Amino acid sequence: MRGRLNLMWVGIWALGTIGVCALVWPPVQSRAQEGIEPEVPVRPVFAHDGLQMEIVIAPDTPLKVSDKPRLVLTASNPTADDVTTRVRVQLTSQLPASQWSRVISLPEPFYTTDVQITVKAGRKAALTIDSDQPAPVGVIAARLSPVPEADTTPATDAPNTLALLSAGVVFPLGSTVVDATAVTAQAGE
Amino acid sequence: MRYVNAILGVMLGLAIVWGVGRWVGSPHASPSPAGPMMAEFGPPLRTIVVHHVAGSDATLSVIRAFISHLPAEARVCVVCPDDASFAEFREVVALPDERVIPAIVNHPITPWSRDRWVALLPHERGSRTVLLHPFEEAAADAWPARRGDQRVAGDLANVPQLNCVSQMVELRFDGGDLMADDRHVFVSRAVLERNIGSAVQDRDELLDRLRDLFGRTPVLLDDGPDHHVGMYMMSMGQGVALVGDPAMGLELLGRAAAPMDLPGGVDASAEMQARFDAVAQRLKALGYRVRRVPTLVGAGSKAYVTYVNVMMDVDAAGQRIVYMPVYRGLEDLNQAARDTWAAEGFEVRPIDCTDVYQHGGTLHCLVNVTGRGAR
Repeated sequence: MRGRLNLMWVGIWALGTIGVCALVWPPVQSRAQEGIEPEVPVRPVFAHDGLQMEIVIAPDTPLKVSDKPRLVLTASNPTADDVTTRVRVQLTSQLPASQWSRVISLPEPFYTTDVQITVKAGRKAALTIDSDQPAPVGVIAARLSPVPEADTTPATDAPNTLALLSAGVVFPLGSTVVDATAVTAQAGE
Repeated sequence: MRYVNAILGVMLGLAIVWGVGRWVGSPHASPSPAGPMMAEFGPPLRTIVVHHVAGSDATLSVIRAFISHLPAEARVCVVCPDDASFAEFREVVALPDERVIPAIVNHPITPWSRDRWVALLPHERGSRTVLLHPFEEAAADAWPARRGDQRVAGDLANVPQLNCVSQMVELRFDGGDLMADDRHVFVSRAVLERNIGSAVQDRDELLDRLRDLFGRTPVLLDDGPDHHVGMYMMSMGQGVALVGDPAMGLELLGRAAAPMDLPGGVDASAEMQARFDAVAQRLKALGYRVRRVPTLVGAGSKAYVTYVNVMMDVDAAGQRIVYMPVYRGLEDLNQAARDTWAAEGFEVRPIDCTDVYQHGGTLHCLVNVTGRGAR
């Protein structure tokens, strides 16, 4: 055999190569089955007066129906100056109308407040906001928008969300589960 | 010579793996080259995708009526959450085995296939259709069926008969937020609202992104109604577009009571009329000949009596066909809509959507398409 092509060894090497590939293949396949793909969603950021702001709902514990949501507003200041600004914070809820619904309802505001935040140059700051309104059943979203210039009093009534949206100044900033079971139970027909 | 045996063996092994890989396919390969978004009209329907969830009788009756009209060459991929749902579909919808492509996904889904993904045409002859889907469904956190819907494009990529690949993008959209014809992709206001400040910085960046993804000129309908595009307009082809008209709907409705199941009654507001009119004006400005068709909008809801939420097809003789929703008790509106489509040269095939429209969609929302082409 020495010095000649040995089909048995060629076959063994071929099987070994296929075996190695088979070990690598399953993780790729299971990743495909899960529908996991490489692009990573970007967290929404609200840019206002030079600040980059994010908001999260109930960051420590899952929110339940009738809880009063706690929000954490984080602002970073990449500029060389200290910045003080006001923003409007609004909580809205949405629900599918029925088990067979194609769409969820229009966002229904249930809490609105205006807050002021100051961030030093090149620093970050966080502000905790406690809603005085309990969360209804549904998908709860926190939205940030500029405080309208003419409006110097704290908001008590919810602004017209659709009108603001059409002006492109309200940004949906993530949603969280209120109570998935309650959603399903209420939606069932 | 020992090394020659090893090298030849490894090469042979890799060749076999490569061949098997080509045969089995790699459904989630990195972004695939794709053609433009599939238009609403064009070559005959070849492969459609519908969902069915056991118990969803209203949606199934619409799907059954539509499928009963399709020619024998058209295949139907049925996405079901479980075997029981698939069995129910087969019991109700009469189709020979060779026309049915089952996709039992073993997770919850909604009955609405249109919103899950949009189809991009194959890049070249023989390549795969790309199912472009968002990275998250609206309300998926709180709505288990919507959470399952997020996986459907990936599920379909694993169905060999469909010859598709799925591709996720960082944008937030429902499939129904987008509609394409041979020139444009029409985009609902929701896409603007859901992506500015997150996926893109501003409107211009969004337009650039949409143009790149869909291969057609994007038209943002940001003054339009707050609903999916196919609920209020449809490009009919040949430079003609159809837009709903609530005032026309109300006039034809006359003194008759609004449909019992239209939530909240009919929205007769000037604001709603202005939104439909804004879409018509926008299309005229783009050079379309615009026709209006009656519509009724549920006050404070997304239930529309609509005659633009259609499926279009063409037969072997080149006759254009429209499958158009109709509603029991609204015969005057039905007839006006039928006349409008017929006047543009379509053979009109009515599909009864009375029991489904209050859920926020009708025929077009229940049917998606992965393939059009010669039969």
